Amino acid sequence: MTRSPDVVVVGGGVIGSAVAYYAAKRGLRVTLIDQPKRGRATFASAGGLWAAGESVGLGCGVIFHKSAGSPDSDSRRAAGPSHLPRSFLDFSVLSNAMFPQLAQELREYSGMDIEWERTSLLFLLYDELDESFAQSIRDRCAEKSLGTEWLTTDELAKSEPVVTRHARGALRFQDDDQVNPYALATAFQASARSLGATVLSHSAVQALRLESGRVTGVGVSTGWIPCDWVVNAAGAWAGEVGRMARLEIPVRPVRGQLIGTETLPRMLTACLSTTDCYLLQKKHGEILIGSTTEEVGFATGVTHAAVKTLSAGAVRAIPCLEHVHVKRIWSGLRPATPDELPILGPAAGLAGYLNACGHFRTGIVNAPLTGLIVSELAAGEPPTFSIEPFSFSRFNTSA
Amino acid sequence: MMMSQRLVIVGGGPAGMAAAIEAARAGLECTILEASPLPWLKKREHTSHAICGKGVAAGVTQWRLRNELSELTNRVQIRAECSVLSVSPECEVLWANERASGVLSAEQLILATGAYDRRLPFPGWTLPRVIAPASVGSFLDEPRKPGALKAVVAGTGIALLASARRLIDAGIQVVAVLDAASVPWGVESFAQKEGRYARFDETRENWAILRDAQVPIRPNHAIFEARGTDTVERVSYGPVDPADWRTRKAEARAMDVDLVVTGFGGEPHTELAVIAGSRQAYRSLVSAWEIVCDSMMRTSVTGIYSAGTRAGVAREFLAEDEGRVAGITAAEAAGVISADEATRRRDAPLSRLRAAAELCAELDAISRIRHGLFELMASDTAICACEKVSLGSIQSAIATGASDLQDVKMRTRLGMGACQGRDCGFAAANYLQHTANRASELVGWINPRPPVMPVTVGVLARMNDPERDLDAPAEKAEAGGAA
Repeated sequence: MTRSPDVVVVGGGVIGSAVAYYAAKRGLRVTLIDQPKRGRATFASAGGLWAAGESVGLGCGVIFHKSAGSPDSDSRRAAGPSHLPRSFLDFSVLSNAMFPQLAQELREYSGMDIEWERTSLLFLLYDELDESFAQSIRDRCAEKSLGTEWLTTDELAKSEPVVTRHARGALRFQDDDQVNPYALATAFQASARSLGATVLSHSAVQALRLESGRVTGVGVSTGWIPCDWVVNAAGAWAGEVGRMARLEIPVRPVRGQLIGTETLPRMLTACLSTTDCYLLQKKHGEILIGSTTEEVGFATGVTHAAVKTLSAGAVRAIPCLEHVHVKRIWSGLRPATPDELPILGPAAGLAGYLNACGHFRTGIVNAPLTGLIVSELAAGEPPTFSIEPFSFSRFNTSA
Repeated sequence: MMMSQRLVIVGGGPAGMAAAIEAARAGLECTILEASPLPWLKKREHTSHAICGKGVAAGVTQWRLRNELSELTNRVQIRAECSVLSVSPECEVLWANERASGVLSAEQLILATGAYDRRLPFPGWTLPRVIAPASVGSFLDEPRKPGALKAVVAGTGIALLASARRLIDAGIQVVAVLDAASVPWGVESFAQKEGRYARFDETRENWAILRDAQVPIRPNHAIFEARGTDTVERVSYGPVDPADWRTRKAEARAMDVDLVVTGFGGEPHTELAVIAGSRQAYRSLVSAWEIVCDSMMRTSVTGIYSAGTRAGVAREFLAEDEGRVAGITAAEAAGVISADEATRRRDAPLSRLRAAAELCAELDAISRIRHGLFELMASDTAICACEKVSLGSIQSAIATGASDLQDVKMRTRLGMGACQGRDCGFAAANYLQHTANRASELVGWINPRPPVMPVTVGVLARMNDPERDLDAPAEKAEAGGAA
């Protein structure tokens, strides 16, 4: 074989853009098809890189867990949301560790700053239930040798002076950071372009051409793009693209709403996770307050109840936010799977097809490793990290 | 669960008031939510010339509507200083004032949120005292050091005449009115139309006042640049090509001014309708996305109407009658008047709208934005004043693959500030369209997000807090009949 394989990536969110970048860097011939749709999760992400935190159920997990629990189920609340398996934690930690070098690379290729910042993540403890949940997290993190640290009320006040004095302290995750999610996606795309990839924006995939058990082309409005590989990175819309290849990809949209404040002077050094909301201050000074977990199909609006709950949670955590202006409230659709784990790699019986979808709440932190692995598979190389726990075949359990 | 209002009208300007008048007259109770303090509705002592939302012309209309409305107070509830942050497709309205916020559900909704001034960037346009026509009122209200002020009014459209007249009335010297278009103000072609649409009289009156004050009105002229240290001190200006508005910089001249008013017609406030899911369409005559409405002012969302929210330089001619049609249609849909009665009542405003449409099209064609003026933007000109995004950053975003306005926003932060792109969206969209050669449909718009009006986290956190509800006692229109 003399020429490198043609890869067509469907989806211009953070995952598709990462795949396009790593594939182009590997010398593959890449076409990225991007149709900006309302509700793309990348653009409603707060950009937390919480490899440890998300794996143990912080971020949106703990908010959802509290809101879903009945008031008398304290014991259930104390147990906290379910932890994701070890393989996922390892994947996320490895992917998160790629960011320092990635930030440099992307700056070189595209001149863009992804605004990667070392912040750490603090889980604020309001009551005994929070404390016992945090204790169980910490025990588990110790087993997995993740860096955590208890902060007393005084230590918390010293570290984050704007945080409420009513918190009993906090649990710090030392290696959980943040990035600007849109900058990350656009820098991936711009870098892919400078490495020779073609980006078709405002272009919808209409069909996949299947010939003797292989995907050989991707149909767009201007005609067929021949390919050796098609990568399904269509986020919440991955099911739609899968059906074009006669696959049932079990990805469904799960809405999250987000509030952004006006630009503020630097007031937080860490990202905060509470049972009401999470809060991050981004590089330009706005504080992002998230988020909900809602099964409402592809609806992308915002709800009054969520706005009230998130605002109240934010003021509880940082009382001086009371008088801060809200700049915008919006929502995005996370691509969720039945077991909350991504779907990576081939589908049995169909050549020339790769999944890079189902990243649910962790698409931003897991984008680099996903992009790397999928590009390795497309190049015919063994993947850096075993994709077995994330294979599409895990859903084919029916007899 | 709170009781549903029969009809909620967002906006207490001419369109909103006219809608309330017609709905109430037909027997339908309604509530007007208005962000401003509504001085003309509350205070009897206001004279028509002191009212002014957008110059004297608008003030006269509002004065007339206020008197009509004052006879219908039993069916019209007015909530002033009440901002609407968002509306849902189910006609739920999220409102806020300084202390509280809440949700009001309505059976029907008329969005009469008006328009804001469209501005075109030029070097120095973000200097203090370079303002939009709508800001003239608040500028005049500010305490100023005594001493003669010199102003120049520039842009396009009849609103320039109204702005200049208000400055003259306030004792400010207007050194020139510069209109980029080939405007025929005062000549026969428009004099003939007086009888056809009475509102044009007000424009002629403004024009006559400028003539008496010996203010030169220069067609095919524009400001090229503004300079100053703390505030604007000097502008350079000159002629533009009548066909494409390309600037003739070789003929530029300079003048000393203390105030620059600049506006290029109106850009409709479509945010709430778009958030509720209404369809938009691009109208190239006015270079703007507008809410798609049928002749009854119905949007594509059931139960939601849009009135008085057209783009262009002559929208004031349409606002009141669009409001009347929307009010009558809402009354018909609510079942308080029959279809025949509604048709009869709509007849007069619809025929006035037909007549006005012709005049508006004429004025909009004269003032259609030509591309030449966009060449004034230099790579260091701030396009988005809120986030300090220069044309250069937009250019490099396009060079690295940005293909639509939303994409430019994500890459540069353009439109991410408090104004949500109201000031910069038009210029950036046109730049993409002409310089980067992309169709308006592809350039798109900056997605509006709630809250469309300012609100604090604390006020949202207290949403629907029963102790802070604004409901009791509801403020009724207390305007007297005396004009």
